Amino acid sequence: MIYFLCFILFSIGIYGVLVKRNIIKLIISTMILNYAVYILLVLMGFRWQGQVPVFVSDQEINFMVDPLPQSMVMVAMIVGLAVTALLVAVAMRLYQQFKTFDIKEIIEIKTKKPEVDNNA
Amino acid sequence: MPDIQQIIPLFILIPLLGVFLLALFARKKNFYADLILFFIVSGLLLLSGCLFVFKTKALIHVYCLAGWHLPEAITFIVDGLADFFLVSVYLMTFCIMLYCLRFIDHWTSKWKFYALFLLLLTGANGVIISGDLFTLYLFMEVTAIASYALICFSLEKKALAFGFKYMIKGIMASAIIFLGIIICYCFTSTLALADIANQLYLRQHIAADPAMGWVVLFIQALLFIGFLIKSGIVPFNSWVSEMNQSILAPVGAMLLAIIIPVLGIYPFLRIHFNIIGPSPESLAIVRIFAMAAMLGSLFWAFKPKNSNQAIAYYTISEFGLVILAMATNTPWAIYGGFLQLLHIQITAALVTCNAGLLDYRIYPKKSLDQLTFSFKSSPKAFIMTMLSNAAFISLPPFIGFWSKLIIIVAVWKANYHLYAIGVLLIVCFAAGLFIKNQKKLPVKNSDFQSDFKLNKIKFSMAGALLLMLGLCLGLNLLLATEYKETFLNPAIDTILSTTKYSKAVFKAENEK
Amino acid sequence: MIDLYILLILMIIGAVLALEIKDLLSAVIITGAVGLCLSAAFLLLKAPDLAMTQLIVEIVLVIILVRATIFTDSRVQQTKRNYANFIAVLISISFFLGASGYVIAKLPIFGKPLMRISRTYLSEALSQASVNNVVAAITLDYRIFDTFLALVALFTCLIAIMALSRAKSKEQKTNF
Repeated sequence: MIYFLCFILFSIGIYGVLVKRNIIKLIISTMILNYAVYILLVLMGFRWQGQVPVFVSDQEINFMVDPLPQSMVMVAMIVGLAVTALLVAVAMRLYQQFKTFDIKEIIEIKTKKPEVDNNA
Repeated sequence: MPDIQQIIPLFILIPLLGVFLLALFARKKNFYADLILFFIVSGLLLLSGCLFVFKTKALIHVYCLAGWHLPEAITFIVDGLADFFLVSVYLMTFCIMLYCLRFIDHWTSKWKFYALFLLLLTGANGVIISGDLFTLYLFMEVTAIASYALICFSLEKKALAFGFKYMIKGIMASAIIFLGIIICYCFTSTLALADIANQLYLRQHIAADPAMGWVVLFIQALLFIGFLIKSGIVPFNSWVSEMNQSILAPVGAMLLAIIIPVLGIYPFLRIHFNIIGPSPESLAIVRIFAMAAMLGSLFWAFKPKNSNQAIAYYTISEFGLVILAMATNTPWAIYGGFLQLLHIQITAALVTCNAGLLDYRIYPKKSLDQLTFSFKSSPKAFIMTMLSNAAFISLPPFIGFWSKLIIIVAVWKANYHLYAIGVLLIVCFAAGLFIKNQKKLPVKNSDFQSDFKLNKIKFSMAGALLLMLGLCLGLNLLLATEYKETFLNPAIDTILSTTKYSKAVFKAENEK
Repeated sequence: MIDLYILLILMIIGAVLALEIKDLLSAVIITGAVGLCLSAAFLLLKAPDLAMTQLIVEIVLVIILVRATIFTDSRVQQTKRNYANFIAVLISISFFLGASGYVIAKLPIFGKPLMRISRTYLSEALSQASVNNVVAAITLDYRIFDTFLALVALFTCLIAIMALSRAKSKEQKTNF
């Protein structure tokens, strides 16, 4: 079924978030999670032989696709853009401080350093 | 006296107004920022108090946006449960705000910190009063973004690394919650909470749909996994371990006292009890899960790296106790659960702020475990630390003791003897572990004042700590019946009334 | 609906490739391609507003990701795999997929949504909101509060990025 393919995409995103160690790959996994969720929502609103929900030259209501999921996805896309942009900003700042994109190395560097922290 | 309904949207608009005022006026001078923040938070605290004092005949206030009607409209719903959470969140915000006023002097860009603080408050308010599933999700996102930024605010290495880990886990949790909302929409084709409750009730009892059980279980599982990851309850606690040692003290206090109850406990209560309705099986599963969560966090609290980690794990296990109390579903147990929630909020914030205060006094910054102080060298700090630790592990005159006593007695009376004994053992054991780990804070007779330059503690920070300590004792008033009637009974009744919530909401909306 | 299936399978292949490829810049470009497939899928599902928005959002995200990747030295990741973690995650994901497969069979089938409140929106949009585009009517009239919250989220993100990009994080004052 087509919904199952979206769930597979979602699980690829979850796999990426839990297993990957590189920061850029983590950001890409969150983007894939978002894409899976958007496509699932719009698929759930689709109607066979449906038409675009716009009133042009007397279209019948009975044949329009569901407009509410489309509105939800529009809003969720804006929020997803904001969160991903924030993630990338933090990632760039992390690279400045640690000089590596690997999150395991970052944790090692962080715990090896002595406790005095004179940071400007 | 204006209609109570008209006050409800102010809870979202006033903090946003504060953010705009901060951006306009407070960029150069820090004094205006302090003034704006103080007045906005105090005003909101008074406003939330008004909801209790000027009670109209209706117990539920429903505000439909833009005059549309249910089920198409977006609504704000304030009933007993939302009242309770609003007032407790505002009490905590007020105390933490007093603490922040001088703490953030060390760092640059004070107005940005305050702006993010107020945006977090907006999001938390919205989650509590929202009556629509998608609006709840969006408010959670706003709260989450503000919390990510606050955690990374100090731009130190530890804070950024922890912040990134927390963000990734938070975004994954948001995606899982959104997936649950999508499947709920596909199944009921509506987004208003009251309407969803109605639809689920109709399909289960009138249409006797056999698909109901599994789909609702899947939706519940997805939503709760998302909420629990956001709140750090075991077994989803991978981000908890470095929480307190990497971030600023007021941010840690906000995380434990505001974000975890509002993003974790409140949606769980609302959706499990009022929308989907508790069944004996689901309550049993939640009870077992809460017990496992308490045991699990105890296991992690066995050998904490330092005292900050011990604080974090102890708090997480107490949240498990709240869920266990709520899942017992008798009036006394729920009453104990609410008292326990208040106890956690106040004492977690108190202990975190106290630890931050000890840190603040020392320049250059050292870790809390290398701090040595005794009664002789700094008597006020010593007494404050001992009192706050006593409140944290629920010794008798503080409210934690009474709440745990009420929970244990209520669970025993509800014939879950094994759970009651288990909770008693866990509570005593955890308190003992905490005391043993606090000995890591070496209390020796060493005089360290000659090495470091001590900053004087400002009145507002000490005042905030004293206020929180006073609240720990003052909330014992809630044990008296007339205060319990006004403040806690509506919340208890909302949880006990389960799915009659949707009928009450529709009635309240039609009566306007 | 064979074209929808093809697009979704392309997205899955693109996602797996983006996560497994060692060169970071190529991974980012493949993510852009996945977003383009998503935009095409929106067009096939009769959602033109979404297709336009997705294109814009995805272009912005690819640009900032390329900026983050390109000015660094570690263009290619070199890491070892942790097998225990990998197998535990695979087991839990397969459990999740099994449960979801069972539940999907009980949902309303693809192509026949129950449209309770959407019917009200569709029938009233022209008279109450006076717009032809029903999605715009919902986003900007019936559920304008959700759009407002999305803008608040963007505003929060803006303040957050401003706070994160400041040059000096700590005052060097010694006397308070």
